[in-house]
Amino acid sequence: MSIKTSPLPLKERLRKELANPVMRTAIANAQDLLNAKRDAAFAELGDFAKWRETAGAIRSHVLENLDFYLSRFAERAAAAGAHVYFAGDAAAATAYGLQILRDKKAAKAVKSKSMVTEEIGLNRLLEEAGLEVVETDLGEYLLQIDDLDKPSHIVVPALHKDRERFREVLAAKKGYTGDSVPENLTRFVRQLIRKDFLEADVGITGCNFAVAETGTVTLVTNEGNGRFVTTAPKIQLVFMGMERLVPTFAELDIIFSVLARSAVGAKLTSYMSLITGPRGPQDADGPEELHIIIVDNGRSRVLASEFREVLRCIRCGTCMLECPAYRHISGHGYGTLYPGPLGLALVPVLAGYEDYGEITKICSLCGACSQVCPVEVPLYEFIFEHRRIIAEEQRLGAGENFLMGLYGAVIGNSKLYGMATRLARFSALAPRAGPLAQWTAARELPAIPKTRFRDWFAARGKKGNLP
Amino acid sequence: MITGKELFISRISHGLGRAAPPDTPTRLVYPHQMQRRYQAHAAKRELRDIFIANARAVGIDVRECSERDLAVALVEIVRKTGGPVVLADDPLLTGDVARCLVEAFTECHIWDAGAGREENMALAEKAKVGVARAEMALAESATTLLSCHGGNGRSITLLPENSVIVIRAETILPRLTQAMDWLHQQKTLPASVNFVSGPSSTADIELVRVQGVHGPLELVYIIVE
Ligand code: SF4
Repeated sequence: MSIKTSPLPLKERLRKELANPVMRTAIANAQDLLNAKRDAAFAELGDFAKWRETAGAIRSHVLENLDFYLSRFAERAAAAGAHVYFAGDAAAATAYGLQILRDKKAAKAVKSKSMVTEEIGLNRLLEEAGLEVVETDLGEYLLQIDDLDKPSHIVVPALHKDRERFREVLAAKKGYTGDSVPENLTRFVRQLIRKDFLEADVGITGCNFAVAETGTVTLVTNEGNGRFVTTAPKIQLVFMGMERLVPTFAELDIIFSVLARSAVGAKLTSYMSLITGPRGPQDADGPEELHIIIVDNGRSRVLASEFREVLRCIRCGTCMLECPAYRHISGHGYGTLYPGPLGLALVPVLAGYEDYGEITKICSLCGACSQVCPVEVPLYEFIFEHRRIIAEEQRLGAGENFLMGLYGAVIGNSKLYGMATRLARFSALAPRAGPLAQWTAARELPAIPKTRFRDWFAARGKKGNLP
Repeated sequence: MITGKELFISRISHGLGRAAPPDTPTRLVYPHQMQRRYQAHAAKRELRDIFIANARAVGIDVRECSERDLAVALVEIVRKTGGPVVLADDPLLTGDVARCLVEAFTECHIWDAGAGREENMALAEKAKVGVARAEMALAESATTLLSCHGGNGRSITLLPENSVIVIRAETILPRLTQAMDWLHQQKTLPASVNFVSGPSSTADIELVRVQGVHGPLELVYIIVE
């Protein structure tokens, strides 16, 4: 894949998604269920405001010192025996991965769910080179065998499919003959993938967070596939976005504590694996070689921009679950790998306004996302700012339309679906004057870069080759 | 080995408005320390009760026994599923426990790091039950911490359908914060540390929770005095 997940123009995409009742019911149920679970988990934890302020401060601190922490992480990881490769863009990252697999004469790789590998289009490249790549997260696996269907949510990728669709796909592609009871479907996949795990030469993972002080990479899963991928194969490749760091284990505590609660309403996930270097001399299992590929692919551009703080994101998916637009169009409506408020705030600056400016119109500017993000990314404010910049650049009467957005078309005037009651939870829904004004007033921001993002971006050329 | 660092890092430094990384990072000030307050003054017994209640709430089977009775407790657990059994090479497990299990089920293997990957993993793959000892346990999230190295191979608590983790009662601490403190203090880290907070599970199909995906289907904690 890459950042773009649909060839259709925006309006057609929206029309298509709005006409998909299975998806719409599934997403609405998922939002209600997961939001309730998350609320309960944070209520039990208590002090949500303090947790998110602290988590936000940690993430912001990392961004402010990213050059320092990345250098330290690389040194410590290398000292633990890992190979660390810095990849400026998708092509460099994938080429390195492919080269390792070729050198090792690998035939099969097992993968645990990873957004950054999707972003750089790793699977396609490896498959074109004749390698078998097996996604091992249950949802991802189903998408993969369903003719490469696209994820609709960053935590629960096959959220748009119901059990009947799972059964049909497994029956058609893998000869499954059972019923559509989730347990039976799951057991069937367990047996299938178990073989792949044990046969694979290479394990490919993302990295939830890396710990700078020790050179440790971490993986968080419930299914246990993260553990498998880092246990059975002889070679492990870890792809990590360059901002996914914490200074020490103390910060990992805070981030993991809010991540599991935000993502799935659990105190922690079933497994959190901390990997420091390849297996030791006393170890029988685990990888003999560990390669960590650190990926920029536009992130340094985001870091240098006024939208830096979007890199705080811990990929929990909460903003999607709170978003009334996402509710109706799912991740597919956005046509981008990172959907929802996160996608609208991040993708236009990660990959450019030319291709990804228009999607910011999807947002209704209700502000719900900014209220729930566990690391206090000013999502609403950033989306608004993108729209303002685009409208100003266009300097047309259309500018106002741009600010008004497409949201009316998305939701239809009379169909508010009880959204109002849900949104009533948020006290700060009154239209906010001046983007960023409130946010900056309430917090100590890292110095805002002197060049405005749009000037900077224009100077680099819109397609944005890295400087 | 590190490749491609200079250009990559300089781009970041540049984006942050400087020529090179600073010698030291800015000071990180925590606005709050709420994580340190959780059950900060709880007695050991209280922590143990919280741990047990939280573990049971997520479908973990929790047993308690004295160290002397550990073998009996394990035999009882394995009786339900049958062997073979794979044990971590840990003093708590390799003496009496191993003897009793061999007597009862014949096939009981102790992880032998010297024997290499294929042999160990094949035994773990065949085993119905894998038993390991936790470094510590965390009350808030019903978590156990496994240092997976040497005699405690990663596969022991991963491949068999049933996972048994033995916890010393005095190692139960309040929450993740204390485990991270412990990791921070280690001079060297094992290549693999795993936090386990439940049997493997998924909610990928209609968000219905299914217990047992790629890892163990069942998880048992035994707390020993
Ligand atoms: S922007 Fe915030 S809420 Fe959205 S996925 Fe990232 S961390 Fe979660």
